[in-house]
Amino acid sequence: MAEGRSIHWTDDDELLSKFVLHQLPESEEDTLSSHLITCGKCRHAINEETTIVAGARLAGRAALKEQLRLRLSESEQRVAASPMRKPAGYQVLWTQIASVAAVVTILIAVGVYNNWFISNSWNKSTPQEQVAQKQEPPTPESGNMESKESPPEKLLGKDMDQPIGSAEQDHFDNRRVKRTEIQKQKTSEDKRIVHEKSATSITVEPAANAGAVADEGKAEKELQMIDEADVLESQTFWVEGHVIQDALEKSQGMLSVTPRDQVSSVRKGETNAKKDDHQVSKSGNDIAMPTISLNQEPSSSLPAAFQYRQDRQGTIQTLIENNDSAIQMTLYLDSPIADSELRSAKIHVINTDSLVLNLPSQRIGLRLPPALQSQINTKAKQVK
Amino acid sequence: MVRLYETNERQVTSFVTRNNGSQDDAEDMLQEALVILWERVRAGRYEHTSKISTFVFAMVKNMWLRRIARSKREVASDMQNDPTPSNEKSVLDDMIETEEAAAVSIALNSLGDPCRQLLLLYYWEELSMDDIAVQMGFANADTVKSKKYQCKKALEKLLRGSE
Repeated sequence: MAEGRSIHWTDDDELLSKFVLHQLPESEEDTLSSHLITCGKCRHAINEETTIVAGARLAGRAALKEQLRLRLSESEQRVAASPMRKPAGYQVLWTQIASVAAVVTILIAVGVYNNWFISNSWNKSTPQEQVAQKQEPPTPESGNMESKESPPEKLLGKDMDQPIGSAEQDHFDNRRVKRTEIQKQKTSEDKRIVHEKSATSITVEPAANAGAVADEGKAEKELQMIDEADVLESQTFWVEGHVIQDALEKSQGMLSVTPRDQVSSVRKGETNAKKDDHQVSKSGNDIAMPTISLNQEPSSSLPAAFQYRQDRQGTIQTLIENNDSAIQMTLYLDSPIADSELRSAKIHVINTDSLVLNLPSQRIGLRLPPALQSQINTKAKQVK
Repeated sequence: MVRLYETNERQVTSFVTRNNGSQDDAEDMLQEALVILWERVRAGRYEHTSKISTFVFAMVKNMWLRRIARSKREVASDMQNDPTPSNEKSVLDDMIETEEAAAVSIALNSLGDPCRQLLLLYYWEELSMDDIAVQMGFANADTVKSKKYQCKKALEKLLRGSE
């Protein structure tokens, strides 16, 4: 057979070894295999290489088996030397059983302890409170059970998914009216609970007392003060902002942003001294806002619990922190925006529980939780 | 590996001895299975889809049943000259291959280090030239390539000398 030397690829020792060890890409292997059909020399080289591989594997396995036998005999000698030692399998089984038993015992103990603890603390509360707790579990609107990091839906209620924009404003107002009605229904019940609690707190913790006086005529004012005191304890709120697709028809009550991302407060009757000449809201509401400081953070730094919420299209998780001097609003954005954009942000207050953050590139609607609304109102009063 | 051996010993011995095998056969099968497991793990070809002991026992079972089937074919071919199906290796081919591999293994052991170690690392553990260079202290992969060629020639010379 007259074949050129170049086509006897088995002359290449490395290529030959790789072919036999199946370390070549499949396409290349197929190409090289096709030559073997017609070339006896290369087939012979392949057979020899295959035999070497088989022999090497046999030698390697024999060496490994020998090592294994040595270690087994050492292990048996150790077992023979310590007659009390049980076989490994037996030990493993008992160890597993013992660990499972220990875990079960701990779980039972914890369950018994918790059960006892809960039943004891339940018995410590007054009979009236027990009845109240059984009838009406505390709600976020009552402001009594506010926690620092409550999930947004608990704070905001069911309708948080509604986008906020001009087209939705009527719908928004209707919802607000409905919620007000529901709140009124609950207020009487809540006030009874708060009053009972306040009565308890007056006797047990006089320091927490906001100057309450057991006078029927001043009861409502007293309750309001206690509500505010409870509400002010909460300092951090998570709010789900929604990117608004439609622009607001009219900008009303626009607040400008001072340098260093500060939003200046607007008092009733004041106009902004900025160039754009933004006007105070003409909605008829005396909506005064304290100083708001605007920041941004990457969405990757969100707590795990809020990461999945951010994944919903058009939502921006926003952390609102109530500091002594101002309210700090931090937007968690998927992609950062320029500092100049933040500086030029404007807040449009729609009503007491909602506002729109206007950035040059987007508008973000934010529904404020009732507890935060109260705080803002309180701060606004203090500002006045 | 010792622990794996001890964990699976009872089950494997029970199976092999119940299927016309001896204690030695069982030990041999289990060691073979553990070595094959080691090879697969090393080559990255092991997929952990079940417990290791399940995998080991399944391997032992397959190997032992194949050995039994092969020995039956050997007996049958001795007695009746039954032709082997064309898609299977004949008993004779199997024997020849096994003997040739054994001859290579003996020659390899007699080569001594570093050739023996180099050829084992390359052909059995399937390490790359670079890894072998690092493990054996060679300058670079090209040095290993050249040394491997020389060792292979020496091995072939030994094999031809033994023929």
